[in-house]
Amino acid sequence: MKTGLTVETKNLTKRYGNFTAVNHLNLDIKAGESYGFLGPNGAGKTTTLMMLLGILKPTEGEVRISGELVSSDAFNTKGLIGFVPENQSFYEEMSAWEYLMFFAKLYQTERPKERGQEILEHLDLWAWRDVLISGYSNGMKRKLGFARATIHSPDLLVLDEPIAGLDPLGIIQIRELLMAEQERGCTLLISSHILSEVEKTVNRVGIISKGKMVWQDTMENLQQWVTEKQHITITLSSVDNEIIAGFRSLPFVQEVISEGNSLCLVMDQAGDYREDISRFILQKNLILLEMKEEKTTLEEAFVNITENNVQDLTGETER
Amino acid sequence: MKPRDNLMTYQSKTKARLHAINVLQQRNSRSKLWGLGVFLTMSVAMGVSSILVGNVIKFSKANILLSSKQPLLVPILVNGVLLSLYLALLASAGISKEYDKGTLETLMVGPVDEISFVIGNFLAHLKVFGLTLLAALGWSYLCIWLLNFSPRPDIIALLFANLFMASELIAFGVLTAVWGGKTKNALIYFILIILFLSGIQLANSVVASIVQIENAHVGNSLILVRNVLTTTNRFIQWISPYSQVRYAMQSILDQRYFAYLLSMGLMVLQTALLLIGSVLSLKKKGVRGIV
Ligand SMILES: Nc1ncnc2c1ncn2[C@@H]1O[C@H](COP(=O)(O)OP(=O)(O)OP(=O)(O)O)[C@@H](O)[C@H]1O
Ligand SMILES: [Mg+2]
Repeated sequence: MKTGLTVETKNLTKRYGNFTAVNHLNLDIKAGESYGFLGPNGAGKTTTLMMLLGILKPTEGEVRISGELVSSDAFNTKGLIGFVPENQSFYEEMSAWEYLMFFAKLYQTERPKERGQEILEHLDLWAWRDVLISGYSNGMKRKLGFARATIHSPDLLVLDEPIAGLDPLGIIQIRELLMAEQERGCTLLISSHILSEVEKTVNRVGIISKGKMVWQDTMENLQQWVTEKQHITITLSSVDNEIIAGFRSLPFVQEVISEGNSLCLVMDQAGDYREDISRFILQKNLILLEMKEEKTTLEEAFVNITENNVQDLTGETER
Repeated sequence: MKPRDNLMTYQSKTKARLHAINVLQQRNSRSKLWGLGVFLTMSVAMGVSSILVGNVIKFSKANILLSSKQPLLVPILVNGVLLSLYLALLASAGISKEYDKGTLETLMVGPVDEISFVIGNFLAHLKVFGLTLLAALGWSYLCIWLLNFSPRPDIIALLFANLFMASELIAFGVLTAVWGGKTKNALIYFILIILFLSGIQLANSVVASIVQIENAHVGNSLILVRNVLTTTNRFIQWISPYSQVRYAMQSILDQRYFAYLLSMGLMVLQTALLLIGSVLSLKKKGVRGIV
């Protein structure tokens, strides 16, 4: 197994005129890690990746790939990186096979034919290898982009919105490909605006919003944070302050938020409290109209985080 | 963070760059050779030169180009002029297309830098030109053999002059592509600059002949125009590869070898300057055309 590359940025900043697309970003991605780089549209993900790859020049700050400063003639490092851009363009007049073999040669791949066949077969493109790329569908081009980016078995794979435009089978195929690369020791850096998209593939996530890192932690911690609390909303025929105080006094209830005749009970995740709640309602002779459990999804958490609510919740926000 | 232990030495960097140049050059020249355009241009060139050679043989007193001395250099010259222009246009279009569509970005993320991209593309087109030149040479020798002429030993020198002329034009095409960015802009720059330069040359010869013919009657203003044009023209002749190749060919026919080498050196120098300019402006503009 080989060691993946590391990615490190210090105060990475990109300004377009007065507009700051990326704002003093500090990344520290370890070798072999699978890092999810998340943020809503326009957060600065693509801009950051382009600076990491040496395509865009930072306004301020620096990027180091395994300790080496990024520059256009850092052939050694660049030869070890694979990149799938957001919108890829191809040499449409080439067949997929010619295209792959051109890049295999450029990257001085060992056993290019075997490797090319392996990848194309995995992606169901083998039968299409001699078709001109201009005849490919969007999804097929997307897959071919993956094939190109992994033909040389890279040590760092950078993916910008990797599964946009793929069908479910395609997503699974790509995910398998990524897993295989990761098992080999390759560092993965995956950008996305959908958390669930990378949930299964990444171990650590960094969330940026308006060019700034607003949250960075392991996937496990994020999930734990999201699922720490459960919410149950009950609707009663009538609600008064005494009733609210009564719910508050229950040992398992942490907080009660009232809205009209509805009460939202916030509780820990330790058990199923629905029975206790029902019993309490019966005891107080209240009439229950509705009870429903509300699950916070990762996606909602993500929206929360990017809307900057996260500061109050975690205190971990970088300034 | 410990730095990578295998930081590249200068030597290994050069090796990596040469590799990139070679791979890019192969891909580009192959796709150009399979294209119809090169063959069409070559056929036109051969057709035109056949007519010219035919005329020379029929009216051997006519002084077409250098043909009075050696009609069989005509195919090489016509082929050289047409194909170098066509390939320079192809280079310009090809590079700006990579820039425009974003395939350059994909290349530059990998083991390709500005130098290898520019040189790789330049060499690809020069290689195709070289191959067509060989074809023209073959054609010439076929004629020589058919018409019972004696072959000239200095034909190799003329081939080189053509090759250097093409290299200058192709390098010029590369530069316009890097400047223009968008394919359309690049081609417009290319054509406008060429038209402008040849326009001045044409105007110069027209005005010069008027001034000559009506020497006694023309006013001072026309003389002034002529002088400005002549000066500009002299400058253009220094930078125009077509003028240079004409000098080179004339020099070799007159056996003035130093003048020949001077023209060749000038073309090489200009090619180098154009290529360096391309690399620098590509570096400055960046792959996405944003500073
Ligand atoms: N060349 C440019 N000139 C001016 N502003 C730009 C330029 N490129 C990007 N931006 C701005 O920078 C911000 C970040 O853009 P970026 O493409 O990095 O976002 P993103 O996170 O990749 O979004 P998405 O999820 O939509 O791909 C956007 O507001 C965009 O308008
Ligand atoms: Mg983006």
